[in-house]
Amino acid sequence: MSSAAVTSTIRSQVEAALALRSSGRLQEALEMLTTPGEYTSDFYTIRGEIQFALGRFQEAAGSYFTVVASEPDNTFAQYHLAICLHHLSRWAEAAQTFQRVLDLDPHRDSARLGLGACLLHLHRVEEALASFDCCWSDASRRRALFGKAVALQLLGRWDEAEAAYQRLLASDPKSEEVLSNLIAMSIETHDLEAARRFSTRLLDVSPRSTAALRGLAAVALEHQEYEDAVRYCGRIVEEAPDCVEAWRNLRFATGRVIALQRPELASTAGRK
Amino acid sequence: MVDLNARLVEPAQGSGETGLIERAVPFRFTVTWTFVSEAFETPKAAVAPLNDRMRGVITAPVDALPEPQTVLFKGSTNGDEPVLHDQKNPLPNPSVQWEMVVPKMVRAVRKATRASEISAPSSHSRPVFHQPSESPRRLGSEDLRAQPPAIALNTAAEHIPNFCSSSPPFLSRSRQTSLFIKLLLAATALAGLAVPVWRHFRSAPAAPEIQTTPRAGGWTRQLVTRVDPGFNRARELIVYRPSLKATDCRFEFNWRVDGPGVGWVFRAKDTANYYAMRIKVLRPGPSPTISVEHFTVYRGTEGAHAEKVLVVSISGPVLHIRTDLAGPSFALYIGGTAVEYWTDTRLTSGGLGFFEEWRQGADVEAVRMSFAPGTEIQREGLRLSMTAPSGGD
Repeated sequence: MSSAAVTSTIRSQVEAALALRSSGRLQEALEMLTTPGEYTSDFYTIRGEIQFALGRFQEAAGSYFTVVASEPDNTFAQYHLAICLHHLSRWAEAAQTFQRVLDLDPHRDSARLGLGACLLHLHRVEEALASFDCCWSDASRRRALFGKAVALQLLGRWDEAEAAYQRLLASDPKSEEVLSNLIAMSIETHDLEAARRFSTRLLDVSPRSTAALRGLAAVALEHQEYEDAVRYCGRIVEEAPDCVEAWRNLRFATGRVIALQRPELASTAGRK
Repeated sequence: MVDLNARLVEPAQGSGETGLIERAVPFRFTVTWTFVSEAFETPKAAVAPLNDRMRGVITAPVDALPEPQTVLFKGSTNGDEPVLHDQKNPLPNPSVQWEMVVPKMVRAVRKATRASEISAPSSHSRPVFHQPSESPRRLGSEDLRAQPPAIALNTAAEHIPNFCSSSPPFLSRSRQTSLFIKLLLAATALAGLAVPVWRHFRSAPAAPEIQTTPRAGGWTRQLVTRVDPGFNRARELIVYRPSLKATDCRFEFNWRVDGPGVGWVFRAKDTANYYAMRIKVLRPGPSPTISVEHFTVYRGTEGAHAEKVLVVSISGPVLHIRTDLAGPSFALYIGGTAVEYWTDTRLTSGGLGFFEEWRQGADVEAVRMSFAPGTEIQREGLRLSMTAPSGGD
């Protein structure tokens, strides 16, 4: 088959795949894209997109990698390869690829966010903070601020972290992840009042939030409020039956309640 | 996600004699940052643009690229899609071409001058003599105002008249013309002049048009400030002040494709509410790969950027960009080809202009704004190109 014929075949395959994808028939669209006789970036790019949409990140990464191997300056493919690697939890490779995107397009904040997220996973927190700090666009503002708050929290810069979280809460008072991280930070700093406050707030937003219930249970245990602890731990094991700590603390708190209410019964139960 | 070994909960040492669990265990609290990478979680966001990317190979027609500062919408290709033609004198209303009437007016009159010597001098006051051996002349602005060449040749073959007072053949012939013919001629000429003018003024209120450049007056530059520390104040809006109340309009300009990109705004009410578009060059060259993105800044919050990648074939260094705003619908044309269409209902009016980031301005020229009739435009100190037979200058 001549080169022109191959190109024409690929083109028609791509067009057909696009049509199928537009109608939501992703699997059929993917099947339409058989291996071409020669390299065309369009072919591999569209294939990567469909694989990505199908959640087949490993395959999508392969498709995008084919593109970037031939066209290292193809920022589109580089960026989506990085996202695939991020989905595959290959943080180091993803960070490297996001960095390549930024080398080509220094103003692409979405890549900067991705890089920052990968660096957090790699425990390169200072670098992550710097990456989030470099974000400048309004579109990335909240995400960058969130990443920055997380980095500050992990660095133990509590006050700055809380200030950043509070700014996020000001724009979105119902952000569960912000509240959850604030609970974790309050527990870590042993600020029980804050932990209770944020947990209550999170529970209002999300009544089945185990993070909120854990926070309240922890505070109740710390304050020796065992009845409350039983209540919260009970709800935790309902929501998350595999939470070993909750089971254990439920048993502990229950024992305490029994011991306080009926010391003789507790003592009997203990002998058994 | 990071597990924190919370120091909390080692309270209330249990009494050994109870036999129950003697101490609580600390809960695990995790720090998460899924929000940061939430944008990666939606495959559709990545899929959508490529749909157009694959189909969006634009071949900008050479003649669709206007000369800077000489663009005008005229005619149509399919009844809907206006095309650009070179023309120095903008005629916003194409129907007002009174030059076309003149040849019809005089067809009945036979002319002594040989037809082959004259070519359609309908809008000129003196005849233009043909050079028989000359190849067809290149169309210039004056030609466009006159008849098309084909019509000119045909008309010439039918003895095109000439109103030139200094043309001896015409004068000698006119002496032989009867008074009735003269009167008829004069009446027809008057009608030829009056009808287009009447049609022009009878029509709906003229749509104001503005031609300017970013270096001219009327532009206001404003920094987009942010309250969060750590973010650079990198964006500036450069809005054309007279357009601040614009609603439906057309915004077009020529962009020299040699910089990092060009960004423009419309329906800009203030620095916290505007629509923005940006074209970036991803790969330069004769067929540059560009990215086209649009986003909305509403109540200070910048929404998601919709982006697509296109390969554009251009014949010169200048790319003609056009944005049509009609109610909640926006359409982008590059080199006369529609490349993007979307809708948004949040902002209904506002100014037109550009935005710069990191103080990287684009090389933009021949900015043209055409507004819907009735649009309130501040006219002081501006050159407005209203529909007028003689052009906008």
